[in-house]
Amino acid sequence: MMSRRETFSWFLAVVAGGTIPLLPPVALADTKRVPLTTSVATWPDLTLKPISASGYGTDPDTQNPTVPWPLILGSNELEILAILGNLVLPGEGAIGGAGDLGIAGFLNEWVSAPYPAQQVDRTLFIPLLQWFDDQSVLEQGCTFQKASRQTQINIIDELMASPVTPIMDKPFAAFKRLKVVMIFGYYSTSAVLEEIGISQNTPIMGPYPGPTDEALSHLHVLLSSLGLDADF
Amino acid sequence: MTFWDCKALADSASTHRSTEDVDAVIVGSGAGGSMAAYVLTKAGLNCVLLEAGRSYDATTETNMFGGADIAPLRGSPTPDKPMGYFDATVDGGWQVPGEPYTVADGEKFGWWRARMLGGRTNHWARHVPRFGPYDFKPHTRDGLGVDWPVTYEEVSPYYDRVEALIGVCGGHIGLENHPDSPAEVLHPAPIPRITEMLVAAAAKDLGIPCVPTHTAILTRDMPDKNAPRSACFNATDCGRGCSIGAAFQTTTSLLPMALATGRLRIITKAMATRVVLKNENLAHGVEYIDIKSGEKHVVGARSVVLAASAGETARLLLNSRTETSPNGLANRSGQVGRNLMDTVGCHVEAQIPGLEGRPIYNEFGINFPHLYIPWWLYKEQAEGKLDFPRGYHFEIGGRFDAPDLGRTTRDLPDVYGNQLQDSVKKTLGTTIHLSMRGEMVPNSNCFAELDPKVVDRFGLPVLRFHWQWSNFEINQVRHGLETSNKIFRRMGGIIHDENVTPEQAISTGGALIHEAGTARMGDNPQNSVVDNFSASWDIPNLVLTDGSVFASNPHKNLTLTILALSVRASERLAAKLMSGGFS
Repeated sequence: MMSRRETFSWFLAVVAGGTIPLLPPVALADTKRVPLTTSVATWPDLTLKPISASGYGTDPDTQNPTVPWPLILGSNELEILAILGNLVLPGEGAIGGAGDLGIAGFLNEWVSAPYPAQQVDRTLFIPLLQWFDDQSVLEQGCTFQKASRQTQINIIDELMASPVTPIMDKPFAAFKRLKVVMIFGYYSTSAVLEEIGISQNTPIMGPYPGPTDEALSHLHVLLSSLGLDADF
Repeated sequence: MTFWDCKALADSASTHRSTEDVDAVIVGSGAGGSMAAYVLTKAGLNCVLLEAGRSYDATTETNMFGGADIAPLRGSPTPDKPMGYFDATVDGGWQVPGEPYTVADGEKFGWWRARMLGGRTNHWARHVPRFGPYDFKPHTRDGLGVDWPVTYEEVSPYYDRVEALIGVCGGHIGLENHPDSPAEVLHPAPIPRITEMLVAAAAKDLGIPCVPTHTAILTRDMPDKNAPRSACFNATDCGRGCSIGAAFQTTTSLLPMALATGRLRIITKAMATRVVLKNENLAHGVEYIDIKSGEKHVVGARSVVLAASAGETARLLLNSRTETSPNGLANRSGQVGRNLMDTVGCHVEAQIPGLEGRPIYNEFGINFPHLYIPWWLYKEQAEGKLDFPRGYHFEIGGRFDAPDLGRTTRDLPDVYGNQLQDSVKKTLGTTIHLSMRGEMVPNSNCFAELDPKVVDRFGLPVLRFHWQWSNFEINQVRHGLETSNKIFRRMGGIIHDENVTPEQAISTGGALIHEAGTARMGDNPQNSVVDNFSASWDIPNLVLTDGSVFASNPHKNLTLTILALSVRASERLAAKLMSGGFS
């Protein structure tokens, strides 16, 4: 079994070994959408082996959480996820991007889990990672992680395009779902929550103080704009 | 199971080892069973409590502060832990391994169970409104269902005592059929959150009340030699359990207090299989299977208290059938398993653009809603202006929290990088939901019976559920959807799934985990299972103290009333036992 801490440590070790090129955060506002120069890769028709591992059961030791199922992603897939993580969520303040914080490890844990919801995502994410490589080969003749940053951005830009062309249906839907799970994974990280000011597990002894004056002032402005009485 | 199977089962009991004879054997350690244990042992009576699950210590087993990022899948719900990794429930959820239930063809019903000391009190929502005078006399008001054989005035003193004992925070309500508690009983109510203030303002503008929630959370310390409990520190998810005892659960309150009397013995991993009779009219004890050894035992007792939950208590009675009671024990009325009720539920949420970018502050509070919207249209209902007879309330949700996998995250724009991060931050704390909780009218299509074919790992027939909402509930949900949408529109909200139909929005039966009514109380043994003190009409030393005895199931969450009626029933039983009854 691999604990959460071990999963993260393993990921960091891989990173330290230089096998995953982590890119600097993207300032998207500075980038310019460049249309793909080639055709669009077809959606990979992969046959995925069923996950037969056991889950953590109905009475896990919640004081010492562990992930009991084997992790299934290979280094190539983890590298792509780390790159995507830093492009999609490049970082909050002093906190690194999702790739830096181990989103690939989290997503590996996610798609390897033997539960129905995660298994549905596995059928989206694993072909998507293959599709990124295939598309990159079409664009630049190399895998996604070896492609230039501009090519990587171009491919993601194409996944943001609207309306979605029929050939992009599956990559678009899969990437949209991947983004949601990435957001969930990234913003459930304690360091990120702390950075953006969300209080979790921060005891307040004594009576709950309620909203700050600043928060109340904002509410009163809102109530006024809605024509609502502040004396409720 | 045929009559001969029943006889074989009864005969085999003679080979069982019989443990000590006590004053009462109690089945179930949730709210009703633990309260019975507390009352009876405090009265000087010796009790054995049987719990099907394992022992559980909230003070040492609750991971209070662990972040989502240390949990598998960030704590997401899974079939193993349907309410998330850290949820307190042990060996339970919608399915219990080796203990199935079935549902009639084409129907849906979910049955949440826990297999642990303290039962479902370890993870519940702690919302504890009192039933009001109307709630005990629903048939008198609308001609549907049946009245309770007790009045609010009779139960009120027990509410007072239970609230003082378990610790309830909240404020003044002052509304029709929403009884207030004595001011000295309540712990101070927490200050509302911004989201709740906004809902309150919009509701008021629409003529809808919004008042402090009564919640079984301590906001001041409750010292006790045996079960000291501390005030809530406004930080952690109560569904995990509460190691400081601020959130009421029997494992940090009633059970240690009862154990301290020296008169309670708890046997865990003990699956009750049937009530054993002394004669046709008197219970002798309870047979159970020691799950660890597989051996059967009988606990002999002068009285039997069943509090295994509305479903399990009905199942136990039905599985206790004998030659002279072929339809189940205490079931001469034929009402055991009938009148099954749950709370009506639907969930409406909206994103409020006016809340975007609001100043961030610690909005956690006592975890549960600080304000809620109680039912307010009693007059209109009495005048026949509504097309549904019973009320509902709204529980308010929404605060600063991490983005989840829900609608607000899924609806983020198709951008990435800094634009995506800005979008995430802009929507933090802007989603509000109103969870409607309504009262259903009992109907003949909702009941539980023994499945004729399926047995559990102990060889015991399992329950087969039947469930159909009636138009009353559909109409009620329609009204709830329309009302919540009005409130959200008044707040300038963008309603998610605005065009959902009541049929789509209504919860699955059992999903609210408020099952009740399967052995209802009444004033007539012909149409009820227990009397007004929850004692079986047929077997007077058999007392039920869980939700099975409910004659109706008001939308006001039922645990406080289970506790109050358990005190009332247990004190009556104690008086009889102390005066030599049932010897």
